Amino acid sequence: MGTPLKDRNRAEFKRYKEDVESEGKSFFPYAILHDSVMSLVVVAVIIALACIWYFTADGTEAGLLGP
Amino acid sequence: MEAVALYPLDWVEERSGLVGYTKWFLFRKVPHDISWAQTLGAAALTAFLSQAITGVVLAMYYKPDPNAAYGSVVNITEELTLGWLVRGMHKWGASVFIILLFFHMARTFLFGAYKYPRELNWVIGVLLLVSGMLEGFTGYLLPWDQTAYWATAVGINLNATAPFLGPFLAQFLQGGLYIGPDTLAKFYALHMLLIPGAIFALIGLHLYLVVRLGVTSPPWSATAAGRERVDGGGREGLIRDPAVQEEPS
Repeated sequence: MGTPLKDRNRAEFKRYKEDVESEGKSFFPYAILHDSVMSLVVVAVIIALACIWYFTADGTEAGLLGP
Repeated sequence: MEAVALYPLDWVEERSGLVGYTKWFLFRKVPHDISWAQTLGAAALTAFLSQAITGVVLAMYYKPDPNAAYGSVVNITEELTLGWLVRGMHKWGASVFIILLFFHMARTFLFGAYKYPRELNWVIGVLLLVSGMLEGFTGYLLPWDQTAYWATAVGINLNATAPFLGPFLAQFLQGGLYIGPDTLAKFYALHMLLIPGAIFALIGLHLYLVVRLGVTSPPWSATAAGRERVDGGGREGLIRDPAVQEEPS
């Protein structure tokens, strides 16, 4: 008989928790460094879009990004 | 000297336990094979926080009145110091937020991170996407120009075509026979208070579940956390069909 899906899921999640505890790495500084870099990129992209939108418009005509 | 420097932290810790919780949060373990794809949630959160901050600044100068709304937006853009930047960031940040939500959802789907025991977090993510889109819809009317007016008219009419609840929803959103002062006030209240409040609450719940249940390993990782080990300590193949039953022992 195969293992019922529910039991298999529970066993897999238990294994996941054990693997992360034994082989995982600390959230700080490894993962948070990636998150911080990505966040800076997002803010930079938003600022860049705002600048392109504003500086390519001339007051009467829409700029590159539209009105 | 060290005792003096640590006194505020000790004071807070003794009364709230927050310092210990923060330490646990920062130094908790995550799978060793997480990649840049798992930063999309943080990216979407950053975009939302940017929207919240720029939105608060805009709300200080915006006037939700049909006779003054457009003028106040022009004033913010043209007269206010760096007002163009704040408005531009809010306008384009909204699109970036929605795009990042879609990317984040696509990553979650492709990694199978919506499966047991993370189903509830997937549902919360879907609610966040719907709330984000509602935030975009209600915010679009606020500049009160021709584009905003007619786009909102189209949006409300589309809602009205939905079966059963559609006409009531359209009437609720419009707040009268035509799009006017009541509509603007209603959209402003929804955009400023109700929907952001709901998004903050949903993000809090979402993050709680992410921390509680953990981050999934990439499906292509040969040493993904949770994958069954075979003899010798390695992991079994990448694809495992749950429909395939094991032989009776």
